[in-house]
Amino acid sequence: MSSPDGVVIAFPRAARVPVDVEETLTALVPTVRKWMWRLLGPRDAFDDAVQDALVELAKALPRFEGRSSVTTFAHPIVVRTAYRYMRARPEQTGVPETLERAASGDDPERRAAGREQLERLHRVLQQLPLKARVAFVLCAVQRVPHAEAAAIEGVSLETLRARLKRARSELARRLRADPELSARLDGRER
Amino acid sequence: MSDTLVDAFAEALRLHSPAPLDLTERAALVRAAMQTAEDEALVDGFADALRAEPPAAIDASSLVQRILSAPSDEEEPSASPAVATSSSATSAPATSAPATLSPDSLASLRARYRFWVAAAVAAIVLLCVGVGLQVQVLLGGSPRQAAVAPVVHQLAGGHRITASHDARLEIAQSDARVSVSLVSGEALFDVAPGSQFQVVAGEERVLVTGTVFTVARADAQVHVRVYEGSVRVESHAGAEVLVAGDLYGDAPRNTQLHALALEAARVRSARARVSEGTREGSAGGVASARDPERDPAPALDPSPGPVSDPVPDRGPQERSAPDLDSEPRPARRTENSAASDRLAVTAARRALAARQYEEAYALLGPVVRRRPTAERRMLQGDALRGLGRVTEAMATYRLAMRGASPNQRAVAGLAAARLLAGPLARAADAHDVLVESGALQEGSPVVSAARRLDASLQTR
Repeated sequence: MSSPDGVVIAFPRAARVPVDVEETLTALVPTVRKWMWRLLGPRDAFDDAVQDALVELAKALPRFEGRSSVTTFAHPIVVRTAYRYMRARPEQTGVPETLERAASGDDPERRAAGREQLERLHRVLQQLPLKARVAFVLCAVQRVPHAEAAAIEGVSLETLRARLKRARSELARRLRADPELSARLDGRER
Repeated sequence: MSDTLVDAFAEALRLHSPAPLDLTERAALVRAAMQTAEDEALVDGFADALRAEPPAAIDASSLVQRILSAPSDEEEPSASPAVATSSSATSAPATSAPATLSPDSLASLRARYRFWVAAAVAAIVLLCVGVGLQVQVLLGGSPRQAAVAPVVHQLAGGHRITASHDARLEIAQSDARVSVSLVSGEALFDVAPGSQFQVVAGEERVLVTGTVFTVARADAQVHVRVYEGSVRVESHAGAEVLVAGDLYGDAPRNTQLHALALEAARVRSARARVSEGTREGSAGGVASARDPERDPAPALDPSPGPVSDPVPDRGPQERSAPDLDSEPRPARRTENSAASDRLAVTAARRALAARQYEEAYALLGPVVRRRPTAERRMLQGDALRGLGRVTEAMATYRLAMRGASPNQRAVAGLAAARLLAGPLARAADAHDVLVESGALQEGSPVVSAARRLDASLQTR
């Protein structure tokens, strides 16, 4: 089975036997970090948020009954933890230089540019209302199916779609107001 | 057009991801998470037990008497008090109170209704009292404790002492200085910050400047339990700093005082959060700004290292490193524990800045045991180094490297390497640690200092 990001987690879907928590957590760490990264963006408290999510998972995994995939089970827990951090400290505190794996390789100039762009992207993202932001990250960035995203958020499909619609229109408005970022995104598209 | 732009935005976000962790880092992260989860499960179990506290003692017999005597001037109910009868009696007025009923019949129905409601209330009250007493006995308290209310002493300056019914206290107060002598029994102390407050119990002396704690004395045994803040316990055997959750001695707790102490600590934490929020708001509302008063810089190294850049000057990246203890903790963690850990770490930072290394080390010990984050271990390493315990300091820095973020790992590695290169004279190991920690890598927050140190190692 695979997570929305294509990360393969080798656990039987219908396993009724208790999972090995340590093994499961170890396999989940990259996925949890990726989810948290997309939800919170690069921030100083990123590692803390990941650790808190892992603690919550360690407590929850013994209750896992194999009725869904482990990633489906873990996703709402990570989102709830991320919510706590987003509410507690919404401001972006800058991109820690070594925390990010730059898509542009080892070239320092391109890495710096990538970091700057990441900051801009997250600045725009963080201007969205909290719930709309999470809906957008889940559906548009992580490509979670709408029904699953609604389940993660604990809302109806209609509510999720409304949030997503709001996020998209708000984002479009903000991106139009930032010609430089829009141009870069257009360039990427071409 | 807009949709394409938004899709491109989402795609751009997808392209970025955090730096991957190696297997060792993942394992360390998972072990730390599991340990914390276990600790919290233990605390949750403790909290669940506390939630089963008994209700306040009442005079049940007089209450029952009063309830039962209420309908005595009304019509007597049916002689068979079976459940089915009571059910039909209570449902009758609701379902079949027809307009054709005579006033007498209605009065009779109402009287029955009132009687059975009163009887049900009495039964529930009796059941609660019985269960409460039983739970209290199970928790180690005695029914007598529940029946005898504690005595509250409200002192000038906002201090509040709640003593068990059998406690004997002698209180001396002058200006902002309060000295309490606990002759026997147990008492809860809710001490206002900014005053000098001490409790003397036999040979033990508890010094405090704003906290919530209990002291119990039975014969020669003295027990201290801290619920919020920290206290310093002095005895002929030495001094010990206790933070919230710590216990000195091993006394069975007085359940009433325990519940009151938890409430007092909760109130104090809430007040602290409110005042903290007010301070941040008045400081301009930037949550990420660091308050130097609350969050001073790490400790200064009293002895110069082998290179010109002393360890605590950790470069711009590290100086802006997060105060891990200002972040929210998992929701199920007890408020007391999280708040007191934050206080203890802040106090330790202050102590380090003031070069009070022993105090800092004592404060950090329990906090690190509860949640050994990289930042806390590094502070502990700073304290140990200040105390001249360089081997332990080096080992602590190396422990901090485990499960730390790349930035923290590099900084901890440089700190360990400096000790290895300097006082411990292990140049080869110092180089290995620099490499292992990634401090020499391009992009490391301490790359220049690490390279200078490494270059100096090559010339030896």
